[in-house]
Amino acid sequence: MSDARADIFARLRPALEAAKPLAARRAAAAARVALPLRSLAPARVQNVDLVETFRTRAHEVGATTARVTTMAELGGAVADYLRERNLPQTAKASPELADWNLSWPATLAVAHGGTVGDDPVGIAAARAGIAETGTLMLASGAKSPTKLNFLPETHIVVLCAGRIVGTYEQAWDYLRKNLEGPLLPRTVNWITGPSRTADIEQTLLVGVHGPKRIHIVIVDEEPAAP
Amino acid sequence: MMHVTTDFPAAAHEALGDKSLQAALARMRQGFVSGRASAVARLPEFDAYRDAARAIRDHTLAHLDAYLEIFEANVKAAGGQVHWCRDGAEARETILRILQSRGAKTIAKGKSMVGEEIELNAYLEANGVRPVETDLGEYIIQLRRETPSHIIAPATHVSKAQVADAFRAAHTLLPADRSLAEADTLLAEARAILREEFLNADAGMTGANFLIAETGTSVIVTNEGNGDLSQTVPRTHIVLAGIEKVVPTLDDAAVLLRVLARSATGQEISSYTTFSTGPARKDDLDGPGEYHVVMLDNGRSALLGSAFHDMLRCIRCGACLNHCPVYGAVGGHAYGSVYPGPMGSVLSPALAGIAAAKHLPHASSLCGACEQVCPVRIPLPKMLRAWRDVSFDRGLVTLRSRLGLAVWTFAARRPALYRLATALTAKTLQKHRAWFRLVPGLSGWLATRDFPASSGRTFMAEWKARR
Repeated sequence: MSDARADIFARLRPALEAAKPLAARRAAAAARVALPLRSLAPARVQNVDLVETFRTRAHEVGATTARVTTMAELGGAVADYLRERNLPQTAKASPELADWNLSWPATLAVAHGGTVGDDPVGIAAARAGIAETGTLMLASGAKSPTKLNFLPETHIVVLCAGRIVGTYEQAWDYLRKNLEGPLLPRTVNWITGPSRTADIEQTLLVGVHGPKRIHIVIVDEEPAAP
Repeated sequence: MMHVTTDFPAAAHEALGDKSLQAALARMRQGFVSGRASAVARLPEFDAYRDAARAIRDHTLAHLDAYLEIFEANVKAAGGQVHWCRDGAEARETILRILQSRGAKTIAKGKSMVGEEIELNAYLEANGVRPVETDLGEYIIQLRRETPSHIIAPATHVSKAQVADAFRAAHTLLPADRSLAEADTLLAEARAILREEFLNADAGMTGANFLIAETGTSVIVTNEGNGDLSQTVPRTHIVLAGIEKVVPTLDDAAVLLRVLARSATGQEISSYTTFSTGPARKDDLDGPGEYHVVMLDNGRSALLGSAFHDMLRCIRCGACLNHCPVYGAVGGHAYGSVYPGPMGSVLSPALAGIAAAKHLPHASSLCGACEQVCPVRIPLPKMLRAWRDVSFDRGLVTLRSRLGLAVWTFAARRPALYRLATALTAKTLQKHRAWFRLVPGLSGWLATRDFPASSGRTFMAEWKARR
């Protein structure tokens, strides 16, 4: 296989060499990677209430949202959502939520862990929210399984209001600042509304392979440190 | 080398008479064109982002080897593997070897145009591995044993009734008399069938919308979530990507994502944008144990620095297909390539050879709509003309075109003769338009059209008179 690699690079180099020598190409690429170039930020996230902008955008793509002030109200908000839609009061929650000292109503059966596909409701925590398109950013980890974001029919995401940023770039800044090691998490999911398709006669249908509905509970406070 | 089979004129003729296809194309033109227009209207900075997107792609291509080195190093640092493949055959063998060495019998596939380009499914089937397409559109055409007719909406040519027929024929364990009249019934059936496939697949494969050098990350953009299940549930995740897909940083990917979905489906962003870096970490609760990136050249490196260099900027949004009057009239299959429409008519000759794809650069009216909507401002009409030059130089055009051009060239080089001939034509057009129906070779063209009424004078004569 190493000859294929050498061959491909040898095919690329003559055309590139004419404009800039290899050492200069490598230096320019290394500099760009070390200090990413910033593009403009859209006006729609300038001087606005980011939480409300996030909610408006999320509603446009078919997500629903609720906003509560304290962590103590979170469990009730989740139970209310499920009850109002006549959905099962049985949920699998991301293990990181077990550290948040949440209290779930007695009517709501919440277990913590990953899923193999038999949980009707998944509850996860977002690393950030991105106001420009109402996008959630979730990440895999030792306490945050990715399958929980895709296998249950109902996806409930807890988002702390302080983690809502304006732009995609600001979300990357937030994630880079909070990395535990040198690597990105294995999977970073940007999720904007429920699973959808228009593959049958261009008719928009919701709930193809991923969740049929997504509900975002915005909490105005951060979880207490475990 | 990519495979193209086309007699475009014959296939186009057939497509124009296909009622079911015409109904599908009418739906597509309506949905995608108005969708893009309203998405663009909602983002005042859209054109500025197009310029930024173009600059990112140009910068990357000018430093392509350097970014590929950085990407490779970062994939390895994250515990993944990179496989370099000169052509489709090497890529197919590489993927099969990975699958066989893990004893994989089934592979769940997210949508990949490069997978279509190298005809991976047929090869895997012939070698004892069952590929399962999991994007709903790809699944439908896999059942119908067809190629995609659109790069982002592969089953756009298929009607609801045809989907129902395909499901009835394939899902034989379900009651034969079940109703499949409604789109949501079809969806529910596909969801249930494919859910089992995800959970039981031995390996998963996705394409890549972008590869990020900074972090060694592959990015997929989907609406269904099938790509995520394909790459998260099975033990092995294989990414298949063209070498031109790399971009420098996460920030650069953000800019490209702002123009991608808006140009493609008219969404502001797709439901799922997923960034995958290496295999699952030691303590992760799920995710694949292995991560392989198969990097395919297959003719791309030859475009660098050529007349078709700018084609490498393409981010495969499909806007040029959606806005092309020729694609809109005949659909994707008439092009005989998995890359149809304007982008395909430039790319297919490059990847398959101009001799095999000689009709495609002519499958355009050069109206320029494609370039107007391209998010990375690829000069598609210019490159279609460049392919026409190449095919003329290689003697690939018909004798009639060649003779016609020879006559025109003869006259154009003799201004007095040219003026005389055009003056005569203008006069004849004014007085005896019907005579043109008698000219051999023009009768067909004039069967459904007419020349505009002529003032009887040429433009040059009018110009002279008015100055």
